[in-house]
Amino acid sequence: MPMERNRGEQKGGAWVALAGLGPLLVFSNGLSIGLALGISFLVVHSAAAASALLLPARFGRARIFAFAAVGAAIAASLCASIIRLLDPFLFESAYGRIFIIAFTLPVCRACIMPETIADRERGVENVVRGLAYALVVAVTGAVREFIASGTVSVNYSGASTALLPIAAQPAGAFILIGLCAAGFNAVMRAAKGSER
Amino acid sequence: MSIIGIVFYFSLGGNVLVQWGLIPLRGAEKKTAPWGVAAFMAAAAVASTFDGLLFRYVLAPWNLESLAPVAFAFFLLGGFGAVRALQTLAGKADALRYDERGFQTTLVLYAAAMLVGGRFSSVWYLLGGGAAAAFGYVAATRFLEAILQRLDLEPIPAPFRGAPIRFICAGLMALAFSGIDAGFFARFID
Repeated sequence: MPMERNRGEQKGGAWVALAGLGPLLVFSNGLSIGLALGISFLVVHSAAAASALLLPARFGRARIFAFAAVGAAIAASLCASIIRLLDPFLFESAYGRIFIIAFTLPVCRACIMPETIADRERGVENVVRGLAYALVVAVTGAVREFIASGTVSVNYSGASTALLPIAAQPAGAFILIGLCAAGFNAVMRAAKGSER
Repeated sequence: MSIIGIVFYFSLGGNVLVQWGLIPLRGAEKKTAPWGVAAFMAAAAVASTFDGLLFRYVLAPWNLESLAPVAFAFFLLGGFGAVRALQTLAGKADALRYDERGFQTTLVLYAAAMLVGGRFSSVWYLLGGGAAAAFGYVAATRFLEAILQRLDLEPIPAPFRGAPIRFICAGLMALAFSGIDAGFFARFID
């Protein structure tokens, strides 16, 4: 029985998506960088989902996926260029991660053509999903900055190390995500329990 | 930095899993044959070298750094498609099936290339760094899988089961890796 207990994540698509967001969550150690990554993610995810939804179905699944993936990469490049114009220092430190957005699992999933008419009609859900993921990235950045330095600032100044420096490190990000996910699980379990 | 230093760095503090947060999907870390690991290391070495040379000699001189993802996406997706096509011809895969593990592997190659590509100018260092980054990632995923298999036998509180314990284990492992890197190896090479 215990061997089976921890395998529950395999069927949890949301957790796979969370693992796919790992590179962004780990790098998002401040509000400004969290906002930059979050907004970039929203743009790239929306571009991928819109391409997959709007391209004619006669192109076929494989071609639509390839076109949507390239569209996502182009959107990531545009975001990187805009960030470079607004804040060159932020671009220099974050461009590798901005580019990786186009390859994350949530974006790859958004590149898949909706199979049925009902799936197509629910296309707006993809936008909401992207918005939620973007919010998670931005909030993670703000929380980590607050825990690390005791304050939150829009001006990017690199990793602060005044209060609890580990929160700004990748290890702190993993632990924080794990604790938040556990807290979310506990709340969901409690909510389900109260419904019965 | 010597080649030994590169291997140590990409296995510990500069590990792709730790630095990029690329936690493998459950089941993706199953034991693969040594030739599979070697092929992955070779792919990472080629990707890192291609990325380093592309960025340095093609994109940077033209101030086109922002196009790196498009160029690299073509390279990686092209390579991924070629591998899938070969696997389909060999009867081991379906080219049209959506494969998240394959994408995650491609993402690791991308991370290794980004980690190594901008760091070294020598082709040999790019090759060695890419292979070392892949080796470090494979080693870290094996450690993580071993820890999780052991934890499967423990009565973990319900809210922590699944992804949360996976992230926390990865965090503690990252802490240990960076601790060894900063406390021992960084001083050792100084």
